[in-house]
Amino acid sequence: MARVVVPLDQQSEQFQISPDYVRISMAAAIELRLKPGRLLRDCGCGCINLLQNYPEGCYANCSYCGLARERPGVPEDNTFIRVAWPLYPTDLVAEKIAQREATAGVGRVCIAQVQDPRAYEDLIDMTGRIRRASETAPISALVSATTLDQERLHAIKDAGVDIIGVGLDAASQHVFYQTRGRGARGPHQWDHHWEIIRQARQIYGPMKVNCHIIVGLGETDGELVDLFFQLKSEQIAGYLFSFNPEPGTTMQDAPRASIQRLRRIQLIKYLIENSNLSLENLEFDEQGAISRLDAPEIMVDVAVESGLPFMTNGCPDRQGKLACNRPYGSYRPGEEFRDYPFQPARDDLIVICREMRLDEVWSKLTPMAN
Amino acid sequence: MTDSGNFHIPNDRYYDPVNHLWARVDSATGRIVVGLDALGLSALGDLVYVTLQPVGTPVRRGEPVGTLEAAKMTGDLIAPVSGILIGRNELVLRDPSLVNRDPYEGGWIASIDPTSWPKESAELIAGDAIPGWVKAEVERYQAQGWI
Repeated sequence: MARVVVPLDQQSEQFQISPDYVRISMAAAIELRLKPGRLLRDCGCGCINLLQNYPEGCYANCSYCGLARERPGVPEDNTFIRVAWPLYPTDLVAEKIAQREATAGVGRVCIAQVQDPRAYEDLIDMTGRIRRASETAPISALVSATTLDQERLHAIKDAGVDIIGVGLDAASQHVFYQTRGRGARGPHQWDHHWEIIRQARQIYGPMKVNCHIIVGLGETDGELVDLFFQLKSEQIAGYLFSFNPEPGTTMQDAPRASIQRLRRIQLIKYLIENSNLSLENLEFDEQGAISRLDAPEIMVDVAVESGLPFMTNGCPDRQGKLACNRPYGSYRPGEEFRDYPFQPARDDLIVICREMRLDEVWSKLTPMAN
Repeated sequence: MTDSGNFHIPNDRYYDPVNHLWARVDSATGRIVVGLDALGLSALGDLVYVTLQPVGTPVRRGEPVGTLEAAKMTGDLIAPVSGILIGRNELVLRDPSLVNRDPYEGGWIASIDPTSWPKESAELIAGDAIPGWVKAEVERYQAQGWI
């Protein structure tokens, strides 16, 4: 019997599964010239974000995620953070990364797991393929904590990963339960996530582990602030995302955080991490929203003028500069910026200040006289 | 057809040299059918949203008649000629990827009843000027790192 070989572009994506195939973010696909196009404001894409692909999508059931188990439709028609992630052979992507690394350089590569029994073994395999193609490109793993234990964290490091990201996503235990855990008919557990985060912190080192935190899943500002202080005290990075409802998900009709709230959260996170803002400098109303910020004018002005609080949070490159800028990942390119994939320009800062309306909550401390 | 690298540019129509839109005279109606050329599409990427002004809207050459949004890029759709917007490709409005798949036929975007065609067509690229313009534009796009 003759063997029939179906061309790649005619195969169902259900048969193009990891580790031999991998999804790549549209921005990264454009950066590697796998896809045509440009990025608005020519901002560049510093991190090649990759995502495992399985026919079932993801066995978890997070209520906001486009890969959720119970989301209608076949997985290949679904989107992850709202934009289609094109699928390519892993070896082709590894080759493109190596070419890029040899010329302009690659800021970072990130391989994201989904919840699947094969995810761990395949993460090791895929990391190895990229490492063999490029010995020098820094590699992060965005892991599904539910699939991992301490031994596996060591093995991932041995495979060539230097930074671990954990999609905690929810800022508090009750929001986690409702959106990712039993309350959402999902497998994830808050305590196990923290166990993995802390084990990874021990194995990978300070600021080599990060938690993804989504603003807008139902948490209060107070819960976010508590988490920022907790992460800082443990030298774990916190990377903010802005909830953006995915059509077809349980939370498809849930509102996004207002831009005013997001801007204030971004600023306060930055001040906690970089300017030693303390909890005593913050007050919250009965709903847990920030109602007062006591901070010196110079502290706030310097931070805002830098634009840094409002940039995308993400893994760094070899020089410690932001690599994972996820251009237009939490919003459409035609919408207002939620986070900036580049340092905001003067005109952007004017917009940011207008959006933030900080004067409504900011009490400008003056230096004490001798 | 002018081919430069992977870019196919038909010679049977006019091109807006700035915005990479094509304009073709529909000989039956005299209307101008408008779409995006291959170089313009290569810079935009996979289209995900297209909006257009309502039929009957007066349009002026060089001014927006709608918007184009790709996965990671957005911009205005600039009218290559002045006139009245007389047709919208509803298939494209429902499925913008049709423009990427078939930019010169099924992926046309709008049609315009022109008011200044003789004058404005002289400002567009056509005929023997197409190959040289395409070559220069490909080089410019390559130099910018857009393709």
